[in-house]
Amino acid sequence: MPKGYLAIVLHAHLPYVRHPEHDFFLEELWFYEAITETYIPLITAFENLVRDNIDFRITMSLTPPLLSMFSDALLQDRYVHHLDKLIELAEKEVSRTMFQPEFQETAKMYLHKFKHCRHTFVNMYGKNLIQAFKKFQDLGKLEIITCGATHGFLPLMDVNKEAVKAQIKVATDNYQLHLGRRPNGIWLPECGYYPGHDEILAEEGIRFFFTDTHGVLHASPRPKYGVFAPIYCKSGAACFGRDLESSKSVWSAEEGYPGNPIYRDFYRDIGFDLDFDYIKDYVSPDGLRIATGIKYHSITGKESTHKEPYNHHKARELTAEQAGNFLFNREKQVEFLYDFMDKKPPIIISPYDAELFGHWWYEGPMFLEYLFRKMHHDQDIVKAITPMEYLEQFPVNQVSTPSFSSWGHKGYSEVWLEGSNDWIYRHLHKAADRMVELSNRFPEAPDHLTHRALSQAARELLLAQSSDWAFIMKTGTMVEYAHKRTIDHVERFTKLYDSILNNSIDHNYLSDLEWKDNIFPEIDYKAYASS
Amino acid sequence: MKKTALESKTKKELLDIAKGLKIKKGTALKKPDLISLIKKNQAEIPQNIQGISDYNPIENNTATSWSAHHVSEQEMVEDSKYYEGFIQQAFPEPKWTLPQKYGDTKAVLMVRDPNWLYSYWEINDDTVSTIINRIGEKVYAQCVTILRSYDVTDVVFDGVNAHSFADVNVGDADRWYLHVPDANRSYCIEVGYLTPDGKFIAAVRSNTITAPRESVSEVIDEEWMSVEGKTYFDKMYALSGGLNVGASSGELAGERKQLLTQKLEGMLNLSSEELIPGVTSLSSPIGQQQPQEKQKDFWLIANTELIVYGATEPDASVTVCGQPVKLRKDGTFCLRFALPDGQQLIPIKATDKDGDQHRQIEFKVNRKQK
Repeated sequence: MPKGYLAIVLHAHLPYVRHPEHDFFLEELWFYEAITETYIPLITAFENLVRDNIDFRITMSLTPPLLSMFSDALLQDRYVHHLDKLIELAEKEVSRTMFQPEFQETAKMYLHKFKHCRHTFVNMYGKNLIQAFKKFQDLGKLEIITCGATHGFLPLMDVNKEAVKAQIKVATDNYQLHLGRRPNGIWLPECGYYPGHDEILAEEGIRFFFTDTHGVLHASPRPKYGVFAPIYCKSGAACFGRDLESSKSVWSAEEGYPGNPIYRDFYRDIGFDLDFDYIKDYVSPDGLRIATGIKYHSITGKESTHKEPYNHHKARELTAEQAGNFLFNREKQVEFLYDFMDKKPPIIISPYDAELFGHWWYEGPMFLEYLFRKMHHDQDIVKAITPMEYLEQFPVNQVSTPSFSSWGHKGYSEVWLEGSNDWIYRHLHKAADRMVELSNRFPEAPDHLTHRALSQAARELLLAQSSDWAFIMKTGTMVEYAHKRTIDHVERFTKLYDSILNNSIDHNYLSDLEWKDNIFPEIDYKAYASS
Repeated sequence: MKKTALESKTKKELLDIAKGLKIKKGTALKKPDLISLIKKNQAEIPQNIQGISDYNPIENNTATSWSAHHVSEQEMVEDSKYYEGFIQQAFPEPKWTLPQKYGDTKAVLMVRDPNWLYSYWEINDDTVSTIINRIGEKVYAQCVTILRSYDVTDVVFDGVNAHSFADVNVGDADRWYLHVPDANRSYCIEVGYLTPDGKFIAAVRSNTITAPRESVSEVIDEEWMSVEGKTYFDKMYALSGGLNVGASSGELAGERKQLLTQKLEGMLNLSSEELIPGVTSLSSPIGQQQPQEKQKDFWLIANTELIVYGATEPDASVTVCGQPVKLRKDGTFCLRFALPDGQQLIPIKATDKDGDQHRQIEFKVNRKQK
């Protein structure tokens, strides 16, 4: 019997970015890069573990926009095209670095990796990666949890409870559509929990959710086991709190694994370094240099301009060593807690953005694979588990109400509510109120056209509510895009709202929106009705 | 009619504002027309323009607070999701702008953190007329617009039964960041007018929210408490990382060992470890590869590449340094190589399609960086 459990939780989310009206749209690259650098490498790690009969457990949230993008034919084809260009570029790179063996090694690594990516994407999973994740869920290794429909930050939506409810309901319906069952758990967007929202979750059949450390630590009554056991809200939904210690070893700027000088540097990319004539076909068609994903340098030193060539053999060795180190620390942590908690096995919740593994920290997926191998082979103190399994084995837990909290900077709402983005809420709330009004007014749509318009209005509202826009406004990169998305979707919603009430729906306008903003084809606008 | 913030400005001040909003030909306009034009343009994407009293001056700082604080690793990862290099994208000006007002009388209160709330509101003309009818134009013109925040913890607010209240003069603003002294309390706000003789006439009331607590709950289940005692809870709190709570994961302090052996009496000093220095925003001039560096000194980067090109029969096969090379349809080829220091030998071999005839050209290239 293990003395304790480790639940690794990966939160995979990208905002819904799909622009059929353009041949090339820069922000779609977020998706293609995530597939190449994070999702496929993770899937490959899972493949390897299953092939070698290593038992493991991992929890992943796949947000509804991500599920939608995975299954969208246009984006699938664009990705294959993107990958083909990348393979072409990698081949050129292998040739170009003929006299630089230290770089050619790395170029060959990329060529091999991109080809493997293409094989995985096209041949193994028929261009729809949901098939891959579903496979591992059906094998019992992966628990896929859901998230808010468009990753809306729920605490700042609380003034309109129907809007919060709709974010959850549309998400669970969408999950059912793609994965064939209801989700057991949810990753609240940005871990944003507001007291009372657990009731909404429980109504949708969700059994557990997560909060940042202080969400549980500041719960009332005070939790006996801190974050090392779940607490039940009065509604019955279980709340798991983040463990800071295991988070720190990965996230910390100073001590965290990803910052090691031997690992691959994120910023030095041939898209910026090489002569323009050579690279121009692989960057933006407007001629703007962008990251290609082919990076030759290691971090070396955070302050220095000079970067050493990346050596992927050395990096691999270090990754294995650090996975061992992480495991060792978890063993010590569990042993101590087990005695301290009077032999009640603790659960350690380690959540991360999925993009940390692969996209930011290139060696990340490899780290996870080594971690699970060592956990399986080298010891029996800590075992990997999913939150649902823990609840099934340990069904009796303390009742407590978690505190309002998020895992954003400073732990509450500030990231999404400050000078750069607070202006959006007046408009988002007004639109939400209007959507509820429409939903209540039309328990049955009088005709097909109105039904379509109501459904599209719901889509526009959901797309406007994505917390990514407020986040991007705060960070200051791609701000114009975030403004555009917010304004576009609120404008589209308002026009639909007016035209529905005035009985003057413009069919062409509606069809155009249905083509452009085609998320959630299955949406039921009555998710916004007051109960 | 009360003077708005804009009306009380001089024409010169208004022209400065107009310039900031990129309004052209403002000088030709009369003051009222200039004011209308400014208001119309302000309805577009709000910019933090100094001089407009819409914004609470304390909180104008929040727009810059991002660049002032240190970025944690978690935040860098989240930012990196949207990072494509520095791009200045210009989208065509949205043809439609979001309205400044919706014609409602409504106030919304939102929680930012244990000590800060945020409210936005609107008071429509009907509401104002009703109030003017009650108190008269003259009194109304002398009123000051007030935001009154009420502590309504555990009460059903009826307008008079709050535990306490505080007033803020908000002028023409339609939004405000509010500091509340006590966390873990419930609040609602009203916006209204304070008459010269101290009477407050509420125009709109907001929803009620509860600010979260900023530390652990005082409520400890009786049953647990009698068995374990305070020391147990304190230690569990520390083990859970509670001493670092509220700090984002990038600002975590201390070693695990330190936590375990730390004394828990009194306040503990948290030292935030050094974060990635010099990182501010991720935008940087085009071409600069590492945006987190501040290149204060004048810089130069240079490299060499070698281009090898040639031609043969279109159906021949060619190798360069032993590697096969693809020919264009007309039999020409071109290869680019990075050329480092040292000597490189570049043999180029061509074989005709039948494999009978061979030709070779070899180059010896030497590069030395002085």
